[in-house]
Amino acid sequence: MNSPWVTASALSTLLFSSVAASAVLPKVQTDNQWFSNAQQTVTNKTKQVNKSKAKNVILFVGDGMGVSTLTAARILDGQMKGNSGEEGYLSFEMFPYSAQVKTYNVDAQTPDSAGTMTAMMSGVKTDIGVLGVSEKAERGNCNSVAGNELVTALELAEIKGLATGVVSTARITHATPAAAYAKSADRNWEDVSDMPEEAVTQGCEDIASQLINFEKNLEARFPGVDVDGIEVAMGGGRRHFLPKDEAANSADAASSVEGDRTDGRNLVTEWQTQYPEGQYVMDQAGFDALDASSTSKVFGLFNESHMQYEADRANDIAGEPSLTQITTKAIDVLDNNDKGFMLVVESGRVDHGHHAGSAFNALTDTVEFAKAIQAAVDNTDPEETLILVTADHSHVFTIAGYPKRGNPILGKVVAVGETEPTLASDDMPYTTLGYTNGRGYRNLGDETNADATYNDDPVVGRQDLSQVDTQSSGYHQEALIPTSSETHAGEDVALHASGPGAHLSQGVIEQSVIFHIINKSLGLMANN
Amino acid sequence: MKNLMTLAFTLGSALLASSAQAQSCANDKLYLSANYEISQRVADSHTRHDSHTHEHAHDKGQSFNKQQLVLHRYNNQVVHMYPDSHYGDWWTKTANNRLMLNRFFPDNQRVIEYQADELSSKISWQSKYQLLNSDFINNMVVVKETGTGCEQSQQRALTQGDYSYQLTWLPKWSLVTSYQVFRGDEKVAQWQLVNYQVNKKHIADYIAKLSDYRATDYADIGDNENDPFLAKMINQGFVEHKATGFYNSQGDNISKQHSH
Repeated sequence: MNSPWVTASALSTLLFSSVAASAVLPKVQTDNQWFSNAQQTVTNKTKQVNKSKAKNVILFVGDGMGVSTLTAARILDGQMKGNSGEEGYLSFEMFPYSAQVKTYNVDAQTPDSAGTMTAMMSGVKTDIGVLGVSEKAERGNCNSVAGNELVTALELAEIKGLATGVVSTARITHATPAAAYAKSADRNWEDVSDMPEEAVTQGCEDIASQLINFEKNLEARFPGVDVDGIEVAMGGGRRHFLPKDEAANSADAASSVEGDRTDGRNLVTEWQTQYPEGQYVMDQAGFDALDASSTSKVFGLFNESHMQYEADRANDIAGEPSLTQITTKAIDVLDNNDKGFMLVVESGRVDHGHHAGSAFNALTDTVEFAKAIQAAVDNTDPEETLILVTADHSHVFTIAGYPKRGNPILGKVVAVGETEPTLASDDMPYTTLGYTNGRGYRNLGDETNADATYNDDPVVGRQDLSQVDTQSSGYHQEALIPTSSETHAGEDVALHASGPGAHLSQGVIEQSVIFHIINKSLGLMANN
Repeated sequence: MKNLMTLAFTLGSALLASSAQAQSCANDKLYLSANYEISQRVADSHTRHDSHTHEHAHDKGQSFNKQQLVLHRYNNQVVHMYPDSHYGDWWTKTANNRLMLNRFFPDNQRVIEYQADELSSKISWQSKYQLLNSDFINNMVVVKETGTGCEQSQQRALTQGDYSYQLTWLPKWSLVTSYQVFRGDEKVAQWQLVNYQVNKKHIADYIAKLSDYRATDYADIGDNENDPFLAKMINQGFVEHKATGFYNSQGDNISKQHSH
């Protein structure tokens, strides 16, 4: 039945219910701060105006930044500011829209970065370990790539005439950033020396070379298309661009021979030849000297391998910029293009902090990531820039026990109303944060580099933490299952969105939907 | 061959470079290879991963693990190869005086890279270069000294609590020739130099070969579950043999203890 009478009746009932509820709610409830804040949140939602077309898109990916990482980082961030922590928000958690993202790869329940980032960049879920190619390609088989290459949002943006950028705190050839620009049967083919001879013979190109040849390769794949190449590429991974020759070492070299390339090519000089107007930088001083307003292209390689953890950044040989600084600079360069830009920003070392079993490094890098996102918010127009924040996958990282409100998130569980740590049934205290697997317990004092854990044997199972400062930077949480490296996890991750097209980020979605949100907002394809 | 100098070493007698070569020891010690035999009493060895590979010797009814250690020096690089354990540690002192470790596995021709900042700053270069920290050596009392210049040899001793340590070494070569650890009257560990040689080209070639092995940054191991070599590492653990440097009878690394 759908008569006007029924509709009027329903409206009448709704109005009556609303008035009645207002009248019956006690003052202790309506005056409560939780109540009024929540009410205001809903009121604000009703006033949201959705725009669909964006001029710019920034995709932020926290590698390995699962939901428990967000919660713990949010609390740590608040506690570092002197608050209880639980009530706060990371910068992007204030965004108006969010979705829950399914991360599995086509062939894997628990995914890796290559397959997941390929899904985000191309709209096609694929196998674990492959980059920019469909599931029909076989990992490690060069010949299986041809015909299975996918087109990424970054490439479409480039073809559309937008400025493009990829930045990361990991090696810029690492899986997540590489999925934006490369096609590879194996994520590990970062330079020619990483490839089997057969793959080289068959004509596959290593990932570093594909970054340098991005413009040429894209034009070859789309005859008649004239693009100007990636405007901003910054991160770690210098080894993959330099020849295996001590003479090519930079001032920042840690290894006796910095470069890994066995084909004699120096991709840094090749890039400089290709883009004589571009600026190559490899340390903090060079970065600081960049004049974004007059720079059309930037290539920054700040470390041989991955860049430092944020908490350990001061220990770099020649100095590295923070992710916030890199993001700000990238936007300043890219927004010189009046048509708009697309930027991919990865916080790559959240993942590594977790792999090393260090909540401290994973969380402090997440906090820095949130700062970088706030910098993007502050340096762009919310009316024209879609900002998406997500993760590629999560980790086996848990927040457990019944700690009281405001209990230090890196600390031992202290129950509500108590001042001493709660004891488990083995009469020993335990931490709120923990890992299901990994190398387990470490007490490395003031060490700020999570990877120091790799210098000692795994120590799993329960430890007596009575006299241990679990809030120190060098503390590594206990783990149950002994593995040499803590592993990814398979649960969903979050997607947060702000700006034109943000309202498309709703519900539970496949990771491949993210490409279509970008596409829809930027109008990358003609039939969009 | 100018750079080749192989000297047999006999326990109980000083091993000295010839006078003709003595003048160059300050330079030659930078490009030196030395073979050691390590004996650790089983109860004290803490070599749980690979004890089955070792020859077991018996001394006064005690069982000892024995294994070889090959030390290579090449300027700011030091290699500790453990042939019995099928792996080695390749250390590099970086421009900012931190240590970078590449752990290599010749059977697989693979290298696992620890970035320089991934290692505790408490690990000293000396403990890799000369197997003992200078602070520890300097704390020992010189009980006998023979020879001069490059031929100088010292016997040193130290007692700490229940433990005593006896060292014979060549100061100008920064080279241990014998090192023994006792608990009371009972010997629990011994490092014995078998021979050494200076051959710059040989060591350079050896390091060049190591640099051709396929390398993986340790931080990336967790993302490489499909690589059989690395998957084994993820699931079954790494070869974490703790024989680098010298250990006391409690299994503690003396080099670490004295490097603070």
